[in-house]
Amino acid sequence: MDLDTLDVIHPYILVVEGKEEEVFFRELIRRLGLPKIQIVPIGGKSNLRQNLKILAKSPRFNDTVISLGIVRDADDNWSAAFQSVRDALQAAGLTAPESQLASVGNKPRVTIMILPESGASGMLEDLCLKTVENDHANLCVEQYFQCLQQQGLPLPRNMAKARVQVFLASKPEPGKRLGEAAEAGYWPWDDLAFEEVKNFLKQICFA
Amino acid sequence: MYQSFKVKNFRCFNELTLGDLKRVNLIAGMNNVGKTALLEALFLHGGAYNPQATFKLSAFRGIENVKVNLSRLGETVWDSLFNQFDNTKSIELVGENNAGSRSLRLRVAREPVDLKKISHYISDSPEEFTGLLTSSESAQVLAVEYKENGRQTALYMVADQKGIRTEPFPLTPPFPTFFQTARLRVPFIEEAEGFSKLELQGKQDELLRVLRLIEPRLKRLAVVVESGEIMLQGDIGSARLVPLPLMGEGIARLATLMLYMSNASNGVVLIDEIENGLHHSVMAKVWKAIGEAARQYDTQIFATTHNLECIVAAHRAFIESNQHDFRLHRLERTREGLIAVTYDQEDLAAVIETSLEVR
Repeated sequence: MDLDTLDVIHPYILVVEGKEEEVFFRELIRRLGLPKIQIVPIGGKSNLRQNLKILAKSPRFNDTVISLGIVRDADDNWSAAFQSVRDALQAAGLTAPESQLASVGNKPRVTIMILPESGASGMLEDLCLKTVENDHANLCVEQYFQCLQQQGLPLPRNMAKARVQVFLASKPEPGKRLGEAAEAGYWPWDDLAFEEVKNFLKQICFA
Repeated sequence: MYQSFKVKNFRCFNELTLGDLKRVNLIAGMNNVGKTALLEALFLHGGAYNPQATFKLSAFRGIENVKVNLSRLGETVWDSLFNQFDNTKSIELVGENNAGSRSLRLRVAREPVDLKKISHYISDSPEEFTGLLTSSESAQVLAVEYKENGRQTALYMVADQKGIRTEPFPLTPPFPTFFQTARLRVPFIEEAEGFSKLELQGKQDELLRVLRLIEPRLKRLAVVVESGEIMLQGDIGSARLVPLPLMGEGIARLATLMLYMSNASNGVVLIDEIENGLHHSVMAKVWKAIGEAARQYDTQIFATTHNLECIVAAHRAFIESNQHDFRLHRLERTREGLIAVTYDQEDLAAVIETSLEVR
């Protein structure tokens, strides 16, 4: 039984879904030179409501946390995803913002970001893929999936994840996952597509 | 069975309300946050008709003799019970259950109207309590006022040069309340008496079954008188019976706990640092046994712990029993004061999934 526990110890908290998001955002926060933001991987979106409640019940949460950011994927429906985070916040007794990137409340202040960007369906993988749209390797990625179709093979269920894997297979050290690719600098951090998520992270610290 | 419990002006508690109480309640929290003090408050509330319970609390903390200086104006022998040692306020303990509310108020009586009521007790009573050293002519009086569903009782505890005594003679407490301390050993005679009661009811095998969880070699238990000392001893296949404490702290504490539970029908058992002496591998089985015994004897349990393995084991044991009549309550000192945060079954499942801290 693994009994390592996750203590809330920093005033700035970013709630993410899982390990991949944790690694990705840790790297982006580091590159932005922001103050320490504690990243809390809280599990899949189906558990957000219950797990956010537990986070808010954590020892010292009320006295420690100044600002709380929550990021999750839109999947098929951006509005439904945004509303589900709002519902989870309210169930946990926290303030729920009315819109993306609007920081509201006091102790803690709360900010929501639904990926890949305001109003769009999709996920973190889609955001990363958007930043490499004009990368030459991207042409090969599309050709790979066309080839699969020509061979009569079924396409993967999650095309965004598959495209990320194929794209990363073109890199000098293939086999990295999305978060590891962030650490390796395979995503172009200066791309405009990352602006909204960068603003979100800055908002957590400085709003 | 308590459904909620409110403490005011007692020990470290300015004011605290503990809600959503279930059959088994585990209290967690940092050091010195008041876990043991909460058990003491419950003990006082349970022993409502007997103000001498206030001195038992000192004994639980290892203070056998109470030193009181009756000449020092304003200070009383009960000051350590009061929040910030401020005996000008009243301690209030209120328990809610299905039947209604039971409240206990303790205050140092110093108004002439109070002292007049009990003046004959002070002058007429013989010496009763020997654990007191006094040094003056004056008397100190603790008023214990008890209210339940409109019924009201007042008792007075008097400390003067004759000793400490309760007036009028205390009634039997409304329900049994037992306190198992973290370190102090229960007197052998108390343990032997508890076991004898089980034997009289033909239920000794129930204790044996539970103790085998941590000592599978245990064949039988017997009350043995040796060198004038009555003691509970066990047969583990050695050449002779072995006194329970010699088998280990865990088995001795578990035996005491089970004996308390079997003698606390409709009552309460309080256990400080329940994990003491228990290996983590037996913790879930012990919790299962505690849950079953608590239901069987209709006993409510309040236990403290620092141990996460103990919390996780309890949650899993109660899930397996299909009766999650269990809550975890964390006491926490915040800027707004002491608070209690309660975790139910779903919360604890999420805690285990996320590894978020609960203690």
